Parts: sequence; structure tokens; C-alpha cells
Amino acid sequence: MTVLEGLFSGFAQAISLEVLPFLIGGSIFGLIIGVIPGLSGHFAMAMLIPFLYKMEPATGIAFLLAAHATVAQGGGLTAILFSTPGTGQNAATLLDGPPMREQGRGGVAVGAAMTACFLGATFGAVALALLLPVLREAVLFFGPPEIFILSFMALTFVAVLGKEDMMRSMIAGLLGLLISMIGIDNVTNQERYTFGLVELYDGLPLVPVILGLFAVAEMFDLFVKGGSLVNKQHETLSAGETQKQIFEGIRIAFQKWWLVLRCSAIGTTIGIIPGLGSAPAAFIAYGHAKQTSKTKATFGKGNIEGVIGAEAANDAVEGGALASTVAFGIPGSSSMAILLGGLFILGLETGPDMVTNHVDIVFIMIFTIIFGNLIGTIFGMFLVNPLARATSIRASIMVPVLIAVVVTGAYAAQGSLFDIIITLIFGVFGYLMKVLNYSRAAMLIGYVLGHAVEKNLYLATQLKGPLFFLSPIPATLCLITACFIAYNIYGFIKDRNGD
Amino acid sequence: MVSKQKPMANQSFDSQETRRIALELASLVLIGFISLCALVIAFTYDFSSSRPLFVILIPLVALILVQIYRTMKQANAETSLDVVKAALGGKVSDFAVSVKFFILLLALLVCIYILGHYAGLMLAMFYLIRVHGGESMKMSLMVPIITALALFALFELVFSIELFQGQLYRYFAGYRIW
Repeated sequence: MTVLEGLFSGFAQAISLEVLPFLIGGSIFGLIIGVIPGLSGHFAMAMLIPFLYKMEPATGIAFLLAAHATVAQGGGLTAILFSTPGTGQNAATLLDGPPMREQGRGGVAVGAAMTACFLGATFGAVALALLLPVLREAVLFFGPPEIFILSFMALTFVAVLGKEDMMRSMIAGLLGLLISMIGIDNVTNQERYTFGLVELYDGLPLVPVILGLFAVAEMFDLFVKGGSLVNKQHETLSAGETQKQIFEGIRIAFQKWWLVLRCSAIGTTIGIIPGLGSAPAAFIAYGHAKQTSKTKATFGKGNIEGVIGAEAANDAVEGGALASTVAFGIPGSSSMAILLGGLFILGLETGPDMVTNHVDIVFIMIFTIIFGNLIGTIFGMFLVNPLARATSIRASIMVPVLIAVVVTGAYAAQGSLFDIIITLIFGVFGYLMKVLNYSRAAMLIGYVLGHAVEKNLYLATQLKGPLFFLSPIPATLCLITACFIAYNIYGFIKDRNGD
Repeated sequence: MVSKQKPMANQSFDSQETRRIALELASLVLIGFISLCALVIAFTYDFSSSRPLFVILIPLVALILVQIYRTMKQANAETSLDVVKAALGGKVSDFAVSVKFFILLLALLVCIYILGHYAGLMLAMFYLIRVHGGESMKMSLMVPIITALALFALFELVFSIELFQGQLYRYFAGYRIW
């Protein structure tokens, strides 16, 4: 099958009456899952896996992938409106989304975020279509040394994100790395800081850590301060005003097309590398948006470029992640691993066979990502008004309801009461960090990258010895990282001298 | 030569900044102690398992010490200690409210463990809304019931996830492990 034949066949199948209802159903399901804190993309996909046994390949792929595609959109809505990331990949949106809401510009943030999501996802999908043959060669050049250095590169952005006080950001980042070391060491089978608790053998679960750091910490804050999620001085926007703001957000997102393109490219590139995923991509894109912005000082205080950059990247990741999964059978994330399992259930095999003989399937995936995000965007915009109104509910009602949802989400992820305990512990920790101005984002990125850093460092030293970073690609990445650090130190010194 | 000043020394612990500094100092000391313990424990692991821990913990402990030094420069230890004592004595309102909320969350966990997910949540929500929030009885009953029903519909019916039923239910269902 030629690429052109695959394209037309894939498009025809994606909009057929057999597939389209499942695509729409999956998109709405994913959006709802995304809105609920603690339930993420891999949860949405895992829930749908049992249904695949009774489905045709095209229907099953559309259902599964559409659910995954819109999760980030739902998560973005929750992040902006409730300061609670619906999913881990929306953590970067927390940096500028909630401050915009507090300024009474929540609608603008949502409009821009949804549009950036759609554009980012479309970029990723198109990139997958265009680069699939080339990527097959390129990904093979990325072994453990390259991934380690790339992870290290992402960690350097931690320092940038906490530029106001690098010391605190570094402490937070290192603490994140430290907690990622809890559990059984995959290489030596050594238990580390498990204290004999079976629940800690697989390490600290991601969902409770995120819920604690961001959701419960916010509840603490709200409980102490009282009031509503929106500052009292800002009136709740009318439905008409919200819609007006959403369209304003859409307009701004299109106006910042160059930023969307660059951040989408970052997302797609990060997505190609197995093991990194959406959260680091969003943080890297956020760092890039901040670095290249003319209004750096307003980042973290409600800069729309921060929202656009992070959201564009975290949806663009899918195209890249799908590329390595489909072409090489290398799942870049837990969601992609579930997708791979789903493809096996549907009787499909990844690898060269998929790229040559089943190009139509690849294009169904591509169109599912595009249409799924479009459907998610449209439905998400309809959901904004009730959600926005919810932010004006009093803390005395909001806190108990959100706590109930968070606790249930923490339990439901693995069916463990231990996860609720972890959520509460990290809630206290997150609240302390918030009060003391320590970067929770830095801690999260350290935690997210911890495993990748350790595993790839070990493999890199085993494969290429202690000087593995002198190989051409790692050396280039090191050089870029060093220049980046030097540039930031230069900026810091310049700012201080300026003061 | 500029004399060394202790700018926060004369401030009372009612000052928000003094309280924040005291809280940061107390937190850093606690985290530093935990990190030191983690470092000591790391020596008991195989070298290949402890190597990344050393890479993380040595700079972490050093950074915490530097941060403690930086924070100490902003306030004298005596004032900070007074603030900590006052906080532990319940005289710092924000701290007292935070501790109260944490105790409420622990109570929620105990309720879930004994009564089950839905009953535990409803009880805790009722307390928070009615007793702490001072809302009307109608609202205090309506919100927990609607929330529990919505969670039941979503998790049990839609996702087929059985939430924790509680030790009490298990006891009467015949699971008597004690």
C-alpha cells in the first residue's frame, strides 16, 4: 500500500459511520477522565482495553486513541480553573493558568490552551505522517547516553523555572530525584528506602504524588485562607464574557503561531524519545517559551505564552510518541505501552510491517488524534462555563467536594489505601513548599525524570564507559546544555548588576 | 566597615515574614535530618545501587546547609525558636488551622478505613461543611449525598472500580481476621 493510498483509506475509515461514533465517544470519555484529578491518559486507555476484544481494528484504534488524545485537554481545563492538574502532563500549565484565572482571565487561558492543544496535536500528527520513514533511522541513534544527556538537559530547566531562587529550586529538584529512587533498584534488585513496605517496592506512585503536591496542597491553602478559588476582587464572569474571552484566547493562540510551532516541535521531538513523555516536554516547552519571550518577568504570574507553550507541547508529544511505538514497537510512555497491547489484541503488529503494509492504520491513528482533539476542543469549550462558575463556590463547600474526588482518584488508581496516605503526606509537603516558595514543579520534574536518569546513566556507563558523554550526539547535547546554563548564569549576573 | 545586622531580631513573631523564616528553618532542619539519615542508610546498599543516591544526597545536604545559613542570616535563631514554640503551642493561627486540616484529613482516612469509602467521605464532608464551614443543614446533607452518589455512579457503575468497603462491612461480611 502506498502512502497516498493509506492516507485516503485512513481518512475514509476515520470518518465512516462505523468508526466516527467511537471516535466521538472516546474523545468525550477522555475529556471527562482528564477533568477528574488523578485519572490520567493511561487510566482512560486501560479502562477501554477490555472493550477491544469485540471491535474491528479501525474502531478499536479510534476508540482507544481518541480517549488518550483528549485527556490532556480536560486536564488543562482543570489545571487552569482549579489549580489542580487533571493529569500529570498538565503540571506546567499550573504555572501560568491559575494566575490568569485569578486575574479574571480564565476564559482567555482556557481558549488559548484548548486551541494550543488542538494545534499541537495536529502538528504532532502531521509530523508523524511526514517523518515516519526518516524517524526510523533517527531514533536508532538515541541510545542510553543520548537519553541520559537529554534527561539532564530537561533537569537544567528546573533551574530556569526557579530562576527567582535557584537554591530553592535545586533543593526541590534534588528532593524530586531522591523520592524517585524509592523502591527496588531494577538493576541490582536492592530495596531502597522501602522500610519493608511492599507498597513501596515499585516506588512512589505518580498519581498520589501529583495529587498531593498540587491538589491537596491547594486544599490546605484554600482551607487556611477561606473564600473561593477565584480572588474575591475579581467578579465571576458572565457566560457571554467567558465566551468572549475564549474567542480572545483562540485568537491569541493563532496570533502566537510561531510559538505554537516551536513548542509543538519540542513536544514532538521529546515524544519520539522513549521514556520522557508529556510532562517533561511541557516543562521544556514552558522553559523555552519563557526564555524566548519579551515578557519573561510576567512568567509564573499569568503569561499566556506559558499556557500556550506548555499545552501545545504536551499534545504534540503524541505524534512523536506514536512514531517510535508504531515504527519500532518501542513504547515511549505507559500510555503507549497500553496502546501497543491494544494493537496486539486487535491483531496488529507494529514495526516495518505496519509502516509498509498497514499504512492506512497509521493514518487512522493520525486522523484520530486530529479529529479527537478537535472534538475535545469543541466539547471542552462548552464545559468551560459550568466549570468557571464552579470556581466561585465557597471554600467551605469546594474543599470537601474536591477532597472527596481527590481521595477517590488516589484510591482508584491502584485500589490502595496506602495511596491515600501518600497523597496526604505529599499534600502537607506541597503546602509547605507553596508557603515557603519552593518550586513544586522542580520537584515534580526531578521525580518524573529520576528513573530515566538513573537507568540510562547505568546503561550508558556499561555500554560506553565513564566517558560516554564524549560521543558525538551526547557531546552536542552537553554543549547545548552548557551554553544554556552559561546563558542563564550570565542573565542572572546581568540582572543583579542591573539592580 | 559595615556591621553585621540581624534585621529580623527585633520583630515579633506576629510578623508574617518572621513566621515564614521560622517555618523554613524548621522545615530545612527536618528535611536536612531526613536527608542525612538517607545518606547514612545509602552506605548500607550495594555500591551500584547507592551510587546515584550519593550523587543526589551529597549536593542536597550541602545545599540544605547553605540554605539554612542563608535563612539564618535573615533572622536570629532565638526569635525563630520562639516562633516555633508559639506555633507548637497553638498561638500562630495559620499553623493551627493547617494542623487542624491535616488532623481532619487523617480522621477522614480513619473513617474510610472503618466505615468504607462512601460513608467515610460523607461523614467527613458533613463535618467540614456543617461544623467547620457553618453552612445550612440542608446544604450540609445535600452536598455529601450528591457527591457520594456521583462518585458511586462514576467509579462503581461506569468504571467498575469497587471502592473500599471498610473494615466494619468486612467484619459483618465474615472477614474476621482478629
